[in-house]
Amino acid sequence: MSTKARFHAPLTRRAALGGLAAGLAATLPPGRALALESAEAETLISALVDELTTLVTSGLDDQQQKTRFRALFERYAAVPQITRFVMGAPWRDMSDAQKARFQESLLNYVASTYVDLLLDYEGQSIEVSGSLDFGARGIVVTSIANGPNVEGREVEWLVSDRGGDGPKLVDITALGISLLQTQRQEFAAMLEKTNGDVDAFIDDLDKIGGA
Amino acid sequence: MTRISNAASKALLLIAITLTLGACAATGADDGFANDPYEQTNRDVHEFNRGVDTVVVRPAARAYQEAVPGTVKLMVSNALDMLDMPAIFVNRVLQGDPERALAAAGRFGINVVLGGGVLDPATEFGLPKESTDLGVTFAKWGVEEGPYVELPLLGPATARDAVGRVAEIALDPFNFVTGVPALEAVGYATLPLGVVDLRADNLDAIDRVLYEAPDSYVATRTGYLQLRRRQVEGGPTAESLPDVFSE
Repeated sequence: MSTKARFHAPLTRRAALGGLAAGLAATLPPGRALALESAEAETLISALVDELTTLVTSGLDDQQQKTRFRALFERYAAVPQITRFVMGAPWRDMSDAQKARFQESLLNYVASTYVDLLLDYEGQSIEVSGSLDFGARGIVVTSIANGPNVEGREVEWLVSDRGGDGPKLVDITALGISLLQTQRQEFAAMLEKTNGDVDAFIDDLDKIGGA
Repeated sequence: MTRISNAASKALLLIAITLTLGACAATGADDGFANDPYEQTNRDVHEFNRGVDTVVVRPAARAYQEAVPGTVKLMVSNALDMLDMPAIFVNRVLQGDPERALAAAGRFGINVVLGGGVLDPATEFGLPKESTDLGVTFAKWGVEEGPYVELPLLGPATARDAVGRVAEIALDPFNFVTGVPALEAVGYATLPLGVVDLRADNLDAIDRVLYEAPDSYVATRTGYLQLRRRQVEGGPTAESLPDVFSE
């Protein structure tokens, strides 16, 4: 309970965001030895939010949006760590070929599922409001979504640089519901339907991902 | 008086049945995320609830969404929120959180006086709605979450939440306790209205969980448990964050 943190503490950084943030991102040397700083994490999420907003309003066709979303996901997210986490315990017993196949399948799945989800949020805005440092677990960047039905809803972005290639997005949480955890539980349920057959599970995932 | 005990004992019986009929088929991700020893029974109840949603709740919510102007819907939501406020106040007191208890009372006062009960000026004054209930209060008192259960019509719950929800139905002044016909009428009217209002506000999100997820039972369980755990914790905690670098 001592690690509990409140939202209203770190709002002072709000002012530092905006245009300054984008400039900061360009000047930061990649892969520094120092621990991840809140400002870095906030900058990453501001930039990602801008990219996603551009994507939603781009007028690109379905396939182009998916390709673009997948590229953003690969650039901003901690893909290897996310892949391992959402696969859960079976990961350890998978062959290298299965692991590679699952990661590719996951990328397509994420692109096709989450673009649809994102488009539901058209007309809404997200503004970074601050961050909370959870040490080894990473930094939670907080943001406020505004739009129909989500007025004032808090969205949290977990950022970590422990993967070794700069700050990366690990998870997104709204109302306490984590995409990562939700995905992991969903995959576990899908695996159960194939009686633990990993290849059959990846086949199923490919069907949803349209690969 | 007989009304109270009838309603409460019926609901308690329902929970007792749900808890004891469990086939004890423990499955799932096996990572300790969900404690679900009654999964098979829960899945049957889930199918029943999903049917009720398909046939009754979703069509009603869609009709409500289409027929009622946005402003009116907002006012209905605000009025329902206002009726929740006394219970939130009491729970904050029981949780030993006088600050939030006062916030709930202040919110109630501002919205009744300045908002006529149908507007929400309190949010503008920096007192946004912060939901809580008896299940959260029990958690703050140290009561364990208990097994996950899906209750007929009442939906997903944990054993802890199930007891809280039934107690709330029994204790709600707008439901059964008072014997005052006008208050009871409000109670009977707001119960279905509250369900439809909630469903209408979350049409796409709930549709996704119930009809588009590969396993709607697991999607419901995963979403519910996370939502409730967050309501107890109040914010992100190190323990609640996924440790993706340890696996």
